[in-house]
Amino acid sequence: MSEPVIDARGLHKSYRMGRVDLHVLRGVSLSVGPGEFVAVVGASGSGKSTLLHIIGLLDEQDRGGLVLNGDDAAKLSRRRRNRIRCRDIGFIFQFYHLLGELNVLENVVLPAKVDCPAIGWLGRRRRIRAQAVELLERLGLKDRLRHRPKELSGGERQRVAIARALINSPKILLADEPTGNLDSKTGRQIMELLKTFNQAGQTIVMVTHDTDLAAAATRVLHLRDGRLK
Amino acid sequence: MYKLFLCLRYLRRRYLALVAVLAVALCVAMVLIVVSVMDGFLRKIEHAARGLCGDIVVDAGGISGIGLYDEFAAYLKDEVEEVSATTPVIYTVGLLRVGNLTNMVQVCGIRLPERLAVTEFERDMFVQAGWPDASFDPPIERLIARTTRHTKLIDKIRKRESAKPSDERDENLLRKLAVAGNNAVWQRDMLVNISLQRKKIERKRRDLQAERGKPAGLRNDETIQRLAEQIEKDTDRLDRDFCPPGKRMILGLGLPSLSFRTPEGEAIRMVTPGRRVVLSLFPLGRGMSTTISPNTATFTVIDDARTDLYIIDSATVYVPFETIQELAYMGADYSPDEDKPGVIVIPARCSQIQIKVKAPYASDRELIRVRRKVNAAIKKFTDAHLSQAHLMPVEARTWREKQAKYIGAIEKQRTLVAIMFGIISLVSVLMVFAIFHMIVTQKIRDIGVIRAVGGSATGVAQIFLGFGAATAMLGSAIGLTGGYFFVRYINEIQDWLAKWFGFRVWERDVYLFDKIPNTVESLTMLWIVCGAVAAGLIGVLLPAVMAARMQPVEALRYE
Repeated sequence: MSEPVIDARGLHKSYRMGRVDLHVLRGVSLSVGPGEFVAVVGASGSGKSTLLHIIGLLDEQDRGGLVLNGDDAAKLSRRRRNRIRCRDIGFIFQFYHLLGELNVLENVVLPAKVDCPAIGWLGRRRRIRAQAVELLERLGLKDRLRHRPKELSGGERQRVAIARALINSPKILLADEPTGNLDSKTGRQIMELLKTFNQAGQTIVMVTHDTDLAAAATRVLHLRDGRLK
Repeated sequence: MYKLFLCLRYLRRRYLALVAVLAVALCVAMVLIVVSVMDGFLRKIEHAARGLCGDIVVDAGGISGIGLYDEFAAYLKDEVEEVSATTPVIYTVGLLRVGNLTNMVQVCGIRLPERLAVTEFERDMFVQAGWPDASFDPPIERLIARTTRHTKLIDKIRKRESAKPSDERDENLLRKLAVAGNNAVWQRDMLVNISLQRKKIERKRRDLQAERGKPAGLRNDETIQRLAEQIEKDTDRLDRDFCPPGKRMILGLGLPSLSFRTPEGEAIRMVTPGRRVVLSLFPLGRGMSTTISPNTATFTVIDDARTDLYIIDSATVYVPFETIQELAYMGADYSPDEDKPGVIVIPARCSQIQIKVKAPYASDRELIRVRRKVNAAIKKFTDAHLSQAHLMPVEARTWREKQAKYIGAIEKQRTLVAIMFGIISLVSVLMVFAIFHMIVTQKIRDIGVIRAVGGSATGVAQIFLGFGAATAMLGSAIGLTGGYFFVRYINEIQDWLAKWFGFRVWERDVYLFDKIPNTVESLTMLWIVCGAVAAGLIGVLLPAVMAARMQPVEALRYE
């Protein structure tokens, strides 16, 4: 078996809520191989998003180890963590989190800009824009390139968020309730898209509370009482 | 790349940022206008002060004055190579009587050709403005031409004022213009008459010359006698009507009741060249008795001048140096001892020696160095003339040191106003802070997204700092442009305000400057922009740090 792209061992994470410590992850271990589509199912507040944020290097575990593509996350500098987040990880959020001041194309191109110094950008700008346009065409947003997020429907916004997550061709796509804010028909369309990208070799970890949606994944895990089952 | 892109995009799309831009622009414009106008005043005053007394001034120790001034001037030129010209000056006080009016005046005795080499006295003369050969004996035709021009100006203003509707017409101004016009016309006619008399005398002189040149047999002694008598008589009469060059006077433009300004800024003379005035002065040069009797002499006004220093222009008249030296008893005292005829006991004296240094040494720093050399020369000269030590110059000062009390007060005033407006400008820093705090609060989710796609905490801070700097720069650019044009056209704006609202900040009949200074220094602009950008950055610093320290997960969950 090939080396896992995500290898989490005994992750613990707790939050302080007022005077109470909330121990949301109690020794979560997870290994995801390349090209897998893993769904983590759990109730609201079970720690799904926390797990996803730790895997995506947006948060840090209290205990346990995490290895991403062979890199031990505990040993990564801040700079390296930023770079991995930019190049190797793509995020899809429940509430899309598009930047309102930018149009569709600019939102999609943003991670590529983050990855590029000013001089390098001048050289790569055309290629990246072409890549973004192609991606948006595949997602059915060809006519929406210059639109601002507020001019799009929820499904369209989520497709823009998917395009943004994929623009740097990340090794891992992390989706946090990607259909949570959409009607069922649009949600199904989004899931179809994710499946299509997965079939093309994209590794995906999705967290959801909906077991029906999770069925689209190649592996389903349940997060209960802070542990994966 | 993304930092520049985002901060420019935020600037374009955030209307709140435009409020910050506007606040910065207003503050920049306000400070630029205040500093430029105040600096303009200061520069005018400095220019006037330097034009008034040259680069370096050597003052007398007391009212006895400085003796051996011509010898000292020659010594100074040999000793201090930086000195290009010198001129002695006498200051005393007197009473000037013009018709029924009597003014207390400061009488300044000057050697006009020398003074022109040291100061910029000719710059703002009425008749001889900018004339390098200005003297106490200008061609009478020039006086007539200038007076004629002045009568035309008065006519023009009278017509302009008369054309106004009756409720806007200034009857008092019209009355004063009528008097000034009559005076000028009468004076011009008198000058024309004097010119004719001079020509007549010249003709008689030529006739006399021709008669004397005839051979003995043809020469008519009676004619020669008659012509000589007539010439003498005519010359006496002419000298009574128009005093000889030694008894000419230049008035300071600003002497009370002798001139006034129209609301539009034109200077109107009540006294024009050719007018006879009487000067009585108190001889301060010699303490021979317990009482001081004034010396009185009649002078003919041939010009007026202004320095732009109100305290000078409103109280000074200029007369030939040698004349005032005589009237003030500052001429040489000869030995009363009959055995020593012609022996000078006390040399002729002046009150001050004004010095012009060569152009390369005219900077403030160089002047101080030259002033030290002059002081050293004074010491050496005094040592060489110990018997006259009590009449030796005591100390040289640069023009800035000499006028320090006056210029210093204005400098302090300018600094105070600049500080006050600087403090008011702190409001813009607080506004920028408040606005950016609001923007950061609104953009917390964006911060989470930027971090999620790989942006660093420093990068987030840089976005907001760049946003702040861009706001300050845009605000500065707008403020500078607005402020520059406001200052540039400040006089036109004032005229417009006066025309439509009757509101005039700058009363031209009160101040001696025609116009509000309207130049903007590029260095001032640079400093203000630097200050505004620094203020913008200070205002945005805390919100930027706040944004940078925010955990991405917290930012993404922020509602």
